[in-house]
Amino acid sequence: MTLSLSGWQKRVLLILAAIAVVALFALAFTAGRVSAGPSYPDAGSADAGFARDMQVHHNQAVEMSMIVRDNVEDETLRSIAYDIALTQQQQAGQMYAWLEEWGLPQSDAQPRMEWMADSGDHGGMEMGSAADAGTMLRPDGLMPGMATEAQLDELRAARGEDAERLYLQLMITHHEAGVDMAAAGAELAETDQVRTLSTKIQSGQQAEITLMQTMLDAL
Amino acid sequence: MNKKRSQENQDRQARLAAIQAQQRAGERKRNALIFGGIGAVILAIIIAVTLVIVNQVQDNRERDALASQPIEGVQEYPDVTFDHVDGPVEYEQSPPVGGDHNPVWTNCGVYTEPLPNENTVHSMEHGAVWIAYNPDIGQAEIDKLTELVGSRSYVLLSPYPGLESPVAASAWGLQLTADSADDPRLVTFLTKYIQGEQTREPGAACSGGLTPPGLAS
Repeated sequence: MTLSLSGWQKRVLLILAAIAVVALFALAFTAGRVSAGPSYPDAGSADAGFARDMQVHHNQAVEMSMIVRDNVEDETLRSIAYDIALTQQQQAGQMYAWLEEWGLPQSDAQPRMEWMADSGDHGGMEMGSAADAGTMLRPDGLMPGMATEAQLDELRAARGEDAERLYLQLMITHHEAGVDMAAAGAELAETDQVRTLSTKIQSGQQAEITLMQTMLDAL
Repeated sequence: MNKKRSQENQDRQARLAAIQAQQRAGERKRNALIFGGIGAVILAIIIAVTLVIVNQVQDNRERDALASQPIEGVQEYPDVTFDHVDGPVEYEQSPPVGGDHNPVWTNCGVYTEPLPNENTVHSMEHGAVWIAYNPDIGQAEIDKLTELVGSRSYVLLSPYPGLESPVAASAWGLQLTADSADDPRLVTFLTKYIQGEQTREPGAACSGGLTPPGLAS
């Protein structure tokens, strides 16, 4: 085949060639991304919802533990509060980092716990009449297990055995809800990180409930 | 006279045809070069992209293989309990690798005296690795173990009188015995299990707990 091309024909051919090269690069890029890149959950996913909401839950457990450590003398209780504070703060840090890695904001317009709506049996949570509204939040708008500001004030003012009792009661309630949320996270997660951590939170906090109940009964 | 002109015409035409043939040949060469060049570029891109993909897939597979590779000789104890109790506990393994334990953990570090089992099991729940040695192995071996620990955090090193093997490295639910501090598997054990996947309470601390007597550093 002899090609005798005129000027414009040659130009067209060169342009077509350039397009072919660009198309090849695009294809190669896609192949690279598809084969090597991780896929991140989106803002509405259960993973993102868990990462946001569980941080809030954890942060309050840290706050309560820091409060009670200053106000009681029992070394065992102070040590438990220390353990809860440090562990949950670090875990909150993990969740913060996931959202950053996923390119998602720490804060979202979505109502808390909406990501849990699909979990079986609504995560076994105490629903009450608010359940009809399709929300898992309490009537006062807080997530289950959270202490109210009034309860926190009570904890701040308490001393000695009163403080120990109040802390254990509040924290057991807090942990029970935490276990439910972690169970939902483990059930609905699409990422390994969320599934692994929520499973460990579930079992770790369940064991802590047992310990705290024993201590409360002994008071 | 006509014959001469027609001969000249013929010659001219022949020369014209020759020049045209030459031109076409030249164009063919040029076209071949252009198409050949484009083809070569495309081929080069395809080869380069294929190499990248193959390399990446290989890397991924290697990384996964490394992570899942078990260390030879590690014993697993998946059924240990984990409740918090006061007082002494009878453990099935020696040194223990899990089970019921004290609510307060042993702070990580290098110790010259034996550690309480009930607190140290809690440390392993937090992700620490415990390297125990029979005190009869001699100072040279003990020094090597101290060097092995180095500046790593979330690790405990302590003498364990009556230990059946010279050295035993434990993490929650896992144990590796070794005949000397030189065993390279000890290094791998530390890297793999310090705050590793076996940690029951990830994020928990190994300080702020109990410091028994004998803390060397």
